Amino acid sequence: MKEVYFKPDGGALRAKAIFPHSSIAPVNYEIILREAGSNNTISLLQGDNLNPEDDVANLPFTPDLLNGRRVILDATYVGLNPALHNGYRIRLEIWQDNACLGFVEETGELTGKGQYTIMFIRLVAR
Amino acid sequence: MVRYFLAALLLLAVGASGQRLDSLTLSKMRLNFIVPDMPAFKSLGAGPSNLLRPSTPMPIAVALSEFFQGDKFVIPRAFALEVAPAQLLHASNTVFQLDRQYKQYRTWHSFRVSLGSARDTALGVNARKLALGFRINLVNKGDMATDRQALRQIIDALGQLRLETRAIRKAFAASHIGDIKAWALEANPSDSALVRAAALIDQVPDWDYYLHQKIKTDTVWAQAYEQFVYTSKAPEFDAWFAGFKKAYKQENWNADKLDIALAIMGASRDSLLGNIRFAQAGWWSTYALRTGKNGQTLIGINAGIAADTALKKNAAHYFSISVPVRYVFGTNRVKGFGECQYQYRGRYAEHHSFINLGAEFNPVDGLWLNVYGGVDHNYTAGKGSFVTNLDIKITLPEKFNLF
Repeated sequence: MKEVYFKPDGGALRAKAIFPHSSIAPVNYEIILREAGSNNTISLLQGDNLNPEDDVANLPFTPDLLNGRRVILDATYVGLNPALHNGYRIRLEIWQDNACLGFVEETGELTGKGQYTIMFIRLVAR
Repeated sequence: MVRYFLAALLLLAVGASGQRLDSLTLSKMRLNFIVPDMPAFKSLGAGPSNLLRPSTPMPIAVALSEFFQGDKFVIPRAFALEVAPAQLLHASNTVFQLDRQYKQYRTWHSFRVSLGSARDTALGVNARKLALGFRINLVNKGDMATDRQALRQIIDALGQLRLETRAIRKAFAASHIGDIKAWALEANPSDSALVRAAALIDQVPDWDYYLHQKIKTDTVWAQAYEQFVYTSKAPEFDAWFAGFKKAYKQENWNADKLDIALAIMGASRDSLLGNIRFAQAGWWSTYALRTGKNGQTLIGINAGIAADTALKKNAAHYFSISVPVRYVFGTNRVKGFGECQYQYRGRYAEHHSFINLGAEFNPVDGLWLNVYGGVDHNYTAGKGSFVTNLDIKITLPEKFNLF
């Protein structure tokens, strides 16, 4: 699992999702925060890619409480016209103090049918 | 000329595949509305109506004038090829950039270039006309990709798909809990006590991560998962989406559109490109307005300057203008229409009207026929004639793999 290191004494963490444009592939997604060492989760944000600027979730705890938690992006999408736009890229980024600390990314081919992905980042205090 | 045309098609295909289009497959998602009229084809004077029909841009389209006389097939008098460069030359590694500049991209996406050729028996036995046209789409409603209401419906259905898929994955993981625990132990031995004690799938931390990784990287597990989805109650999103697309097409063939276009035509006494002289320049603009549930009104204007002859350098130039209005009624695949057109022909200082009835047919996927006939009345000369016309327009079928 991708590990992203953060400063426990730094500013609040944010998770940002980046999708293909909605005219290429509409997306329905949820960003989830999972407790360290368990599968207990908190839903941070449910949304779509109609307005890319609002695809950002603020993590609800101070950074010193985030070590070992996982940020998860759970998304479904469909390519409207794979003949013209067959490639896609979905990215989940972690930000702190206006800097991108790391990301996980998936690229692939749109099929024109409903598709699903789930992406994970483990937060590690440094 | 047919050889040149086929060679151009071949070059286009080779060029396009050189742009990393080899992985493209034309999908079921493409909406096959009527093939738009091409400015290069119109510039050749292939028909009496000067209405340039707007429609959703196609990657490649071909227009032919009728190619039979009596019961015999003949070489078409005129034909044209139109390509949308942005649609053909798109490479997958530019999608991210294009996403960020979508508004600019959308305009570029609709830009099309057409090239047409026709015989010109008035100029000489072997005379040819060659036209180059450009067009751009300024209003294109009824395009699912930019219709936020339609996108919202799709996104809502995707939300349901997400929940259903999550449930199916969990059921699949639960039926393979032993394998999931083994993958979790292998990846993270520090959790061994927790994982070994897990009796339920939810007690294995990040079971969904391990499962997802396995399905993505192991074809045996990917097939097993697909089989599980197939035998369980599979999500119905794909069937819903196919039906949604079909209904959307039925409801939006007559949505508002605005195209503008320009074409330049040259003529030559023979087939040598070096002998081509300027013959005509034309400009078109057509607004298509949804008129009721099953109707559409097309209001156009066409203005142009033409040389009186392409045979000498000091030709005189004349202005002409047409204002056609067409009302179309029907469904996406079969429509009837009535049209009135006023035309001023500067060369002869003549005022004409052209009143006609016609139809647009889509007998098979990718093939469109446009037939009309009516009375062309010359008010200046005080006489009229009956004129008919058949255009054949071909584009890539919805279920056709080009590359």
